[in-house]
Formats: sequence, structure tokens, C-alpha cells
Amino acid sequence: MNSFLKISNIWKYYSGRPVLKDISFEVSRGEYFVVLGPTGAGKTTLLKILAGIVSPDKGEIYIDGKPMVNVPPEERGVGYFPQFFNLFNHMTVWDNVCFPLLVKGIDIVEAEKICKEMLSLMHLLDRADSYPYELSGGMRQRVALARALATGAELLLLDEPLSQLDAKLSVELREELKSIARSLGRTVVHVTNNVEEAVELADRIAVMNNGYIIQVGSYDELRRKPKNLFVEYFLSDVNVFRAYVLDPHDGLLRSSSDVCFKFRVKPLCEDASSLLRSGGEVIVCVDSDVIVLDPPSDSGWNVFDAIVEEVLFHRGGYTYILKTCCGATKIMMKVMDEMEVGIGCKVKVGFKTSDARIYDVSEYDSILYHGG
Amino acid sequence: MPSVDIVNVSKSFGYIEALNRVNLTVENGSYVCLLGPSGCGKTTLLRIIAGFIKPDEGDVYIDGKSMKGIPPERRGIGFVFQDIALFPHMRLVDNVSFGPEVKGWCYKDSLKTAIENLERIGIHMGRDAYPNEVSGGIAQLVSIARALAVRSRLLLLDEPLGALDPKIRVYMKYKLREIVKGFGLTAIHVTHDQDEALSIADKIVVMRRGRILQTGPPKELYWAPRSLFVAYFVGEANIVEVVARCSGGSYIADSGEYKLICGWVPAPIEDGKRAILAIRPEAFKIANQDMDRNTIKVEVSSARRIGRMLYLGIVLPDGVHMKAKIWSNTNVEPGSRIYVKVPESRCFLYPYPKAGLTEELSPV
Repeated sequence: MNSFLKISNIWKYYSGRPVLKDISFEVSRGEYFVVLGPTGAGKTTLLKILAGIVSPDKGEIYIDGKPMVNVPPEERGVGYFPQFFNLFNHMTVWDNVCFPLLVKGIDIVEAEKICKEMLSLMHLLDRADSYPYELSGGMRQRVALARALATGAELLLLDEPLSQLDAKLSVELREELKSIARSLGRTVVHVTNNVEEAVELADRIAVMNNGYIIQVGSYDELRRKPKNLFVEYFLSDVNVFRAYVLDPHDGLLRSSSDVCFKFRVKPLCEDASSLLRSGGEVIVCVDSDVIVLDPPSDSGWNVFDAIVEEVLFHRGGYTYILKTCCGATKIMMKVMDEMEVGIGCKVKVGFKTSDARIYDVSEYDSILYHGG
Repeated sequence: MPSVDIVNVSKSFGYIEALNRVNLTVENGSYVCLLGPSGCGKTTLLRIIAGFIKPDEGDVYIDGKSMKGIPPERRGIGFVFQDIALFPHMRLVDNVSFGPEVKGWCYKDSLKTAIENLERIGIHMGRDAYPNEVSGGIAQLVSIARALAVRSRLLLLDEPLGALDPKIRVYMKYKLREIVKGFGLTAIHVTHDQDEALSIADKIVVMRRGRILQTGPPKELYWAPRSLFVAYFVGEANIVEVVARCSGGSYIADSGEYKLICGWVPAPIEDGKRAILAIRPEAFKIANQDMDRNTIKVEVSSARRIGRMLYLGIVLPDGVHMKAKIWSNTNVEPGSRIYVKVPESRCFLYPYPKAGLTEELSPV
């Protein structure tokens, strides 16, 4: 791999507690790389270390092959966009973008040329004479981005650049951001806690939790082969059940919290099969969009009677919250079209035995604080 | 379960008009979301209902009773703030029992109600923890328990999920609705997040520039938006300029290269006039051939799959790019040509805005 940014074995401690644990990854030139994880995962610290604002306790950073750990921020050739950015309030939009270039010693003709180019990219040229307080939140964000881009840095470090915006604006700016980075050929490391944002922007995603990088890959790779329960759970709307193994050969399980809720699983990979030990407990994940109404009654399917508890509309269709009739296990089912069953109706639903993915029960803790 | 009536409410801050003659009825036991871009007046309206701000004109009625001159603490409301705002030096349970105690309840009763409320919200353990020891989601649930502790039946929520991680937000959406329905409350919830409003509310109120643009259930707002702004702001819409053709009572959007019969035309448009066609990404379906009405041959410019949903970039015969989200098990390759169909009822047609398209779509 032609790696432009290389990080190896980074450790960082705050008051004796590790916040970054043995972080290693590589980013190619021109790649849009997203670091995704919940609040407190260590994402911002990692980005600050790349920018040179915080130094690591252990580990190496290479940009374009050159070691960076002892290089001060201004000499690293990176454009850093902090989560809580500040514009100069007494300066116009134009000066906000132009001033840092002049400070860097770029001559005024060249600086004005770059400034004009960046503002036009960000659709801000007609607001060049406005002051920050005269602009909407989205515009201010675009000014800050223009300023980060104008430095000409080949590597852009963006810390939640879209999080302070209205949902609508944030989605619109997402598309612009990607196309601008592309057209300028910049390499980007973008930090976010928003899955949708990561999916839309990233060439590759690094999933981070609790100071570790858990898995790096394209969204498709992460979805197809999640390394553990956390990756699976964080990236998708998935039903999670804890269950005891009744019959390992047959894949028969029983919910840990609901004695009536039994189902069969047919693991597709060896690793998962080995988790099925008689009497053992496992975690079972079933995507909400593979659960169907009136499933075929053959041995490849698990079939349940359930009551519709709630029907929630969303843009891509409907989410049905179901409760199994025999016990009280909740099942989330996503469908495209509204079904002819309302709240309180009794339905037959099911999922394929091969659509269940299995994890070790010890992984359950990793998702507890994230809404599970 | 109280109802709320807002009658002709106006409010200005200096020269800025925050609310302009707003009228709204919130039925007993309903979950209502006030949705709009920053600065649309939604938070001001919530604060007027709470009694934190006095309207310049108009009045708020709770259960038919005028709230003129009635302070917030006597309106029977619970208020939940975006930044959670628990007392950091108090245990969770004390945060919840504090309100009743201030109201003069004895300690025993206050504590009993506090524990009851926490349990009903699903917090059975960890009541002795301090706010900084629990996750944001739990802390926000506790602040809801606190808002309900004085037996408030009307819950006012100001961006209650704004400070939480997106992943937790999804879970909290369901949880909030479950709490409101389970307790038999009436809820008014302010948000700028369309997805949040769409899946949590019985009724959404779309606001812009101090006025209400449309009120209705989520499905209606999404599939029958009365104005171009609502079509654009609530969710997503592909927006293109076309020529309107009308004959025999039905409308056709004519791009020059393709024609689509439009089933949702909320305002009359003259034949041959400029118009705006709006199509939601989810409106497209894959067709086998162009025998059907409203079927167009398009080129696929990008394709990505998320679960069973295909996210496509498509190029129409006139070169216009659109986004399509199609629920399908078959994959589509970029560069291929496919037929897509848009059901008539899902083609929206609006008169070309008098003040121009940019102005019509501007959030502020």
C-alpha cells in the first residue's frame, strides 16, 4: 500500500489511564478515512496527536515517510479543523481565510488567489465581505472549512466538522465535503460518531471504542465480516438476543430472559459454530430488515407469533416493534411498505436460521452503554 | 392528559419577529414535534407554552384554561432541556425527588414517587450514582423522570436528544415515545432533526420564519407536502425545473426529454408554465421495461447497498442527477442502464416560486 500517513503502536495516558491503546493504521494518498466511534472512544485525542497538539506517550507517526512525533504542529503540513472552531469575529470572511496564509509568509497576490478559489469552492464568494456574526451556522462552518483547505495542506484532519449543524445542512455539506476533498486530491482523516456520515463519506472506516481501533475496512467489509459484536451493533439496526444453547448440533437456542422464546441458528462460519456449546450462553444478532411477515414454514426458518406494539414511520419505510406472544421478547422489524396490520394485531413473523450471527457472551458489556 | 391550544400567538425580540400569529392545537395524549431550521421560532413557542416567555399577543390554553398570568410552576408541566441539566452534586434519585420536596411534599413521599418514576422509566439500579457517573442517555432519562416527578401530565422537551450520540439517539427515540404513551402524557418536543420527528411523533408541526407551514402525521408530511419547502426540508427531495402540462384534470411534468404524470399538485398551475418537480429518493422503484406509465430509462452513476436498501445515483435522459433509495435484493452496477418507475402519487409538482428557487428553499 502506498501509505501517506502511517501510525504505529500509539499509546496515550491521561492521569495514568490509557485513552489510546496500541493504535496502528495506514492511510493512502487521496483516501477519505473516517474514524468512527462513540463519545469517549479516544477519537479526538487521536486526531490531536496527528495534528501535533498532543504528544503520544509511545508510538510513531509518519507522514509521507517522515517521522512526525517531534515535529511541531505548524511544520507538519496538516490542516486541522477542531470540533469547536473559532473564526476571527472582527474580520470579514475574506480576511479569515486570507490572514492565516499571510502569517505563513505566502505573498499577498498568491494568498488572494488561493482565498478566492477556496471561497468559490465553498459557495461563499458573494459573502466575502460579511462578518462571521452575519452568517448562518452552516456558512460559518464552510468558512472554517475553507480556511483549513486554504492552507494547502495535503493532509486534512477534521474533528466532527458537521456536528454543530442543523441535521438538514449537515447532510448537504457532507456531499460537498467529499467532492471538494476529491477534486483537490486531499487526504482526509475525519472523526465522527455518526454512522450515516461515515458510510457516505468514507473510502475506509476505522471503528474505535474504548481507546482501541477495533476494525478497519470499507463499510461493506465491516458489515459482511464484523470483527466483534461492537462493530456489528454500532454499524446497524440489529436485534440482539442473549440465549442459552439447548442443542449445539441442531443450533437450538433459548432466550436467556424469556423461557418461551426458542429459535434455531445455522452459523455460516466455523468460529461461530464453536461458540455453540451445550448449556453455554451466546449473543445472537439478527438484522431488523431480514425479519419478514408470514414466513415460509420450513426448517430453514424460525417462526413466531407476535403482537404489534408500535409502528414507526421513517424515510426508508416503517419500523414495527413486535412483542412475542408467548413471552415478552421485543423484536424490531423494518419493512419498506406499511403493512395491513396495526397496533395490537397478532402476526406471524420469522427469520432464516442462517440470518443469525453469533458472538461470545463476554462481548455483551461492550454494547451496554450504547443504548442496549 | 392535558390538551394545549395556542391561539394567535405572536412574539418579537427587538426587530426580530420570532412568532407570527401562530395557532396550534395539541390533542390530549398526543406526541407532537415542532420541527424547523434554527431560528424558525420553535423553541420560543415551547418556552411560551412553558411560561418562561410571555407572548406579545395571543394566549396559551392548557385544558381549556387561559395561562395568562400563570407562572411556569403552576402550569402542570415538566420541562426537559437539551443539555440535560441535572444537579451534579446530587445522586440521581435526589435529583428526581428534589422537585416534589420543593413543592412541599414530605421526604418519604417524594422519595417514593422518585423511585416509582425511575422504575417506570426503566432505571431499576444505580439510583445512588451521581450524574457524571452515568451515560448521557441514562442522565437524560433521569431528567425526564425528574420532569414527571411532580405528576406533570404535559411534557415539554427542548431538543432532548441533541446532546446524545447518534447511536443512543435511535434507542432513546423509541424509549421517549414508550414513556410518553405508557404514562399517558401529552408531549411537545422541539427538534431540527427530520428523522427524529418522523419516527417519534403522532403529529409534526413544520415551522419556518415564525410561522407554521404544515401540520400533520409523519406519513402525510412526507408523502403529501403542501409546499416545496416542506418537501425539501422534511427528509430529502430531488428538485428539478420542468414545464407543467395540464389536460383533463391531470398534471404532467415535462422536462423536454421525459414526462411524468404528477398525482400530488397542491396548488393550481397554468398549462405551459414553469414548475418544480420534486421526487423523494424513496419514491423510485425498479421496473423491468418502459411499458408502464411514469417509467424512465436512467443511467446508474453510483450504487451502494446498506442492508436491503440500494442507494443509487441516477442520471435522467436530460442529464439531471437524482438520488434514489430502492428496497431491493438485486444489485445494480454503476454504468448500467435501468428502468425506474415513480408512482403518480409520489410525483410532486409545485408552481415555480415567485421569489425564486433559492429563496424558497432557504432555511432562514
